[in-house]
Amino acid sequence: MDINTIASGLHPLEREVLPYLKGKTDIGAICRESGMLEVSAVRALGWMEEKGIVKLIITPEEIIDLDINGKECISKGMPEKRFLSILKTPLSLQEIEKASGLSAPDVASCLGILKQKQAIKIEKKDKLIVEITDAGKALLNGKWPEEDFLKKLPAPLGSLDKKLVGDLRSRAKIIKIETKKHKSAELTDLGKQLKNIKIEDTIDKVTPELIKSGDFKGKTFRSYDINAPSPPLYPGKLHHYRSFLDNVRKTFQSLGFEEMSGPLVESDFWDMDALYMPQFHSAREIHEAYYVKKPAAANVEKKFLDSVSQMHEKGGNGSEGWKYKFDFNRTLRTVLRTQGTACSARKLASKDLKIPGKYFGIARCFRYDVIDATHLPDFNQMEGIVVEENLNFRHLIGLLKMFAKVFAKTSEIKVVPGYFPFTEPSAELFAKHPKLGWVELGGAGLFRPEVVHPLTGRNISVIAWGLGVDRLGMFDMGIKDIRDLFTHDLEVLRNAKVV
Amino acid sequence: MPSITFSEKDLFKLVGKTIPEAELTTILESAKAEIESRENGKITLKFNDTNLPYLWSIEGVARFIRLFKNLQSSPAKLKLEEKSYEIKTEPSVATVRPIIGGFVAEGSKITEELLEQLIQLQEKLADSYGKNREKISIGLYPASKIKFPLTYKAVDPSFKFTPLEFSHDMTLASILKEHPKGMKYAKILENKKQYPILVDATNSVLSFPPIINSNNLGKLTIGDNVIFCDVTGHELKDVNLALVICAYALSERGFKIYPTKVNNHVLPDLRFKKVMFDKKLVKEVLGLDLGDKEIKELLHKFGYEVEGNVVEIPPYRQDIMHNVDIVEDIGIAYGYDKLIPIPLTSYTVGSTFPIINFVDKFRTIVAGCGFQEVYSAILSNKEALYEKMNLQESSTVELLDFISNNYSVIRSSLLPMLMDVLQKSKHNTYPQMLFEQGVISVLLNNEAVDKEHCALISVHNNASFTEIKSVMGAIARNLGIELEYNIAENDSYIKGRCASISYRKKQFGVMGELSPAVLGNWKLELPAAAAELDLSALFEELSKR
Repeated sequence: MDINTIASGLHPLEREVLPYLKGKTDIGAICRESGMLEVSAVRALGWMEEKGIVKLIITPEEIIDLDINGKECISKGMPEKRFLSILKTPLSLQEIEKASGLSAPDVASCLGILKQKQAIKIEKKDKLIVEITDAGKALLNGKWPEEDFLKKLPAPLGSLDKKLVGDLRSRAKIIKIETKKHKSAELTDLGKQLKNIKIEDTIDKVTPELIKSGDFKGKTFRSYDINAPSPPLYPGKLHHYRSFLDNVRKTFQSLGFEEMSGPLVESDFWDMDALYMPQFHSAREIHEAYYVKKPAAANVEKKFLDSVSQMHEKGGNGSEGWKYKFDFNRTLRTVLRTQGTACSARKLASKDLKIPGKYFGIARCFRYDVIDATHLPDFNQMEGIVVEENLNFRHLIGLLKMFAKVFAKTSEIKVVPGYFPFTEPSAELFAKHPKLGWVELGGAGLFRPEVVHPLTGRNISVIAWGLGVDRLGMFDMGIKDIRDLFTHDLEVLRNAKVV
Repeated sequence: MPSITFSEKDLFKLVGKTIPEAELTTILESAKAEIESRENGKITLKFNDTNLPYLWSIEGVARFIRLFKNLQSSPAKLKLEEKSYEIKTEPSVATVRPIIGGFVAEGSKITEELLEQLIQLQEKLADSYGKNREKISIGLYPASKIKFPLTYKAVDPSFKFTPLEFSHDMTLASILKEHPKGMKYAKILENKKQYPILVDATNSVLSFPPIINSNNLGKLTIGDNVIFCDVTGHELKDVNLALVICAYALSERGFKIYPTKVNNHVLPDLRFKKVMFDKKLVKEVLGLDLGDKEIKELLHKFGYEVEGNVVEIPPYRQDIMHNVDIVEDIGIAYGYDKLIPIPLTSYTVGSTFPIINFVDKFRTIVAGCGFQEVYSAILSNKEALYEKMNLQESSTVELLDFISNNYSVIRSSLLPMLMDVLQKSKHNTYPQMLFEQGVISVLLNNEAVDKEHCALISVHNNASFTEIKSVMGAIARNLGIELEYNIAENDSYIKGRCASISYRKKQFGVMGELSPAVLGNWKLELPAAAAELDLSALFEELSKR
């Protein structure tokens, strides 16, 4: 990086440290000289090292510091000094202990030290009597280098008087040796250059005063390292798959489709009977759908019960019917909606059905299935109908072509014969996905007359279609496991793309 | 969906020529079938239309291909021999399994491959179409030892014979209890006082329908050249359909078919069903202008006969119940890929429900307050909804039967969904702020009522009542409404730190600081402030403004 760029980007703390860096400089020394707090100096030097301005040198160092008794030596004086100072008259050891406040072991060790220095005389009568000598008096009134020594601590071992260190270390808990990391800093070549150029004053923060005063004019702001990492931020946001569904919903509205819906708990009637699925159909076995315990039965308008059961039992309107005894209890059984087509049946039967009308529904459906990467008991189906006089199968193909273009961004489609119990003719739609090749998008057909007539009371063409919306969403978001659509892993939710 | 496996050599022999792969795929699409696998000379076909059992045999598939490619002249008629065999039925079967029919096939030989295919057809028809033998079941026998006429009757459970693959007599009752097939299908005869039995003129047992053949007369083997086939069930049309499909298959293997006479009916009934066909429907349904000749040719590809306005339907097609079914076959024979699409041109106005627009705005406001949206499954369980939330169970929509206890009820609130996310995401950085908006269902007057709900929660060191109240304040401000708060008691929350939320005196939510007991139940270690709102109720009140 250019030296001037580095200069203009220096943080105020870095600017503060820089003048005190001379050769290899001890951090303690920098603080003493500059008056900076050690944490500030260390932070600044850390940044400077990253920029290549200084080299930090860390060496282990033996430090002498005060131990427990050492602190008392400073505040009350050395024990032997205290010993001597009370010897106005000869005293017994007990008297010394009492008068000086020293402990018995301290008194004992003082006896040894002072005797060696010939500062006291000891006479043995019925007990030991201690008396101060002339040398003792001189000692008491003289200098006490031990005390000066202790006041300098903590200090590196190398900088201290070796003899005193030895003497004091031999005594109980006055000083101790600790190994510490010694930090010093040395300017690199780049740092030396930096120190030699004139560093202009820069402004660090924009403040209300600065704006008002206009003092920033003609000055530069400290520049930042724009590549420095910033902490991650997780904003509040809408769920990625629900956003996809929101878009699908908007797309249908823009294509002139009106939304339709239905309840989660359906009756067998709207879920299947109204769609001309016979009551003995295999999709209606107990282990194919989630039947509901509470509530156990639903209500269905008699008018529709009559027209639909009639069609199952006897046919009519050109149909032979399924020809079996319709079970009126069974039709009221409650079941979790198995197919979005239930919403289409309800719409066809509703009073506000518009003709011509285009309808769509995004319906949560349920299937009694083992859970794996492609099966959930709980999934979305996107279904709809187009109700209009004189629609035919070619209109249906036209509609599917449009869906492929809008939802799979392709105009290459394949429509092959399909089978649904409620449509005839029926078709399946495949679209050529740019990456995945031919994929099944959904199914469609013209509702059977046996579905339309009992619900609407007339013969009118109804295109019914369904698109695998969960699959579309998975293609769109590049998800392979359907369980990820409903994930409860916050990390996935936070990091999911919203586009 | 049923699938069958056969050798491709056998198929092309039956078709009369080899069909290239791409063409085979297209023709099979027209039969609503797809090749699931093709390896080592074996093809496995999957049928998407569960209503076309005539295709569930290699002979049926080959017939479809021959007709579709005009390799066989249509209609696909099968001629019965004049001689017939008699099956007497006794009235006792009426309440057990009333219908029986059969035929004798003679004049060719059972090879290993044919035996395999016959057993496959028998299984597919009885399991898939026959609903695991309940609706129909099929028996195959070497006919050389059988003395006609046969008698079909119901007998007591103590009746004895030697079932297939056994060397000793067993009573019918013990067959249902101990024989593997008996145990498998015993349910069909549950609560019956007598059981059906088929015996020959010497009183030798052929079978115990729909359970098992006898070891003596009911064991078909390679090299047999006279076969007897019987079908039993509840409806004549179902029994006849299975007989027809089996008779066609054996006839196409070079056997002559001798019918049976049952109560003055001759079975199988191979007559083509005549229906009036309204040719206008071709134009109406397919949008195609086709002439009579063209329509006839296309119908021939599906084995129909056409005479003027009358279309004759092959006896193996029980699925045709309306003219539109015939129209679909014309469309498929014509080729869906040749149909030119027409765009929809009617003008219609797109729209959604007002409440959907409302909840979408609501979601945007909550997300703007810093909450991450969650999207969960609707099925849940009582432990999550109540036990772990310190609540009493009430008004739950419950399933009758379920695979996993985790998915045994419909969720009645959304907060537990968020708790589950929190429990699974403890390694993620805090604060964790989540919300979910979606449908819940509750039991009201014995009806399941769906409601749009929204739950939100904030979890971090300083999560508090004040924080969640601020969020509610922000929501209210952005909706342009004023909310009322009243002290409330709810065992999910700390007493004295829980409020009900109302708009114009209508309560629609609860909020507060979650009780440490609830946090502990979900293994959370930080305080949490949460709210659960009934948006349907709020929207209803808002709509009154």
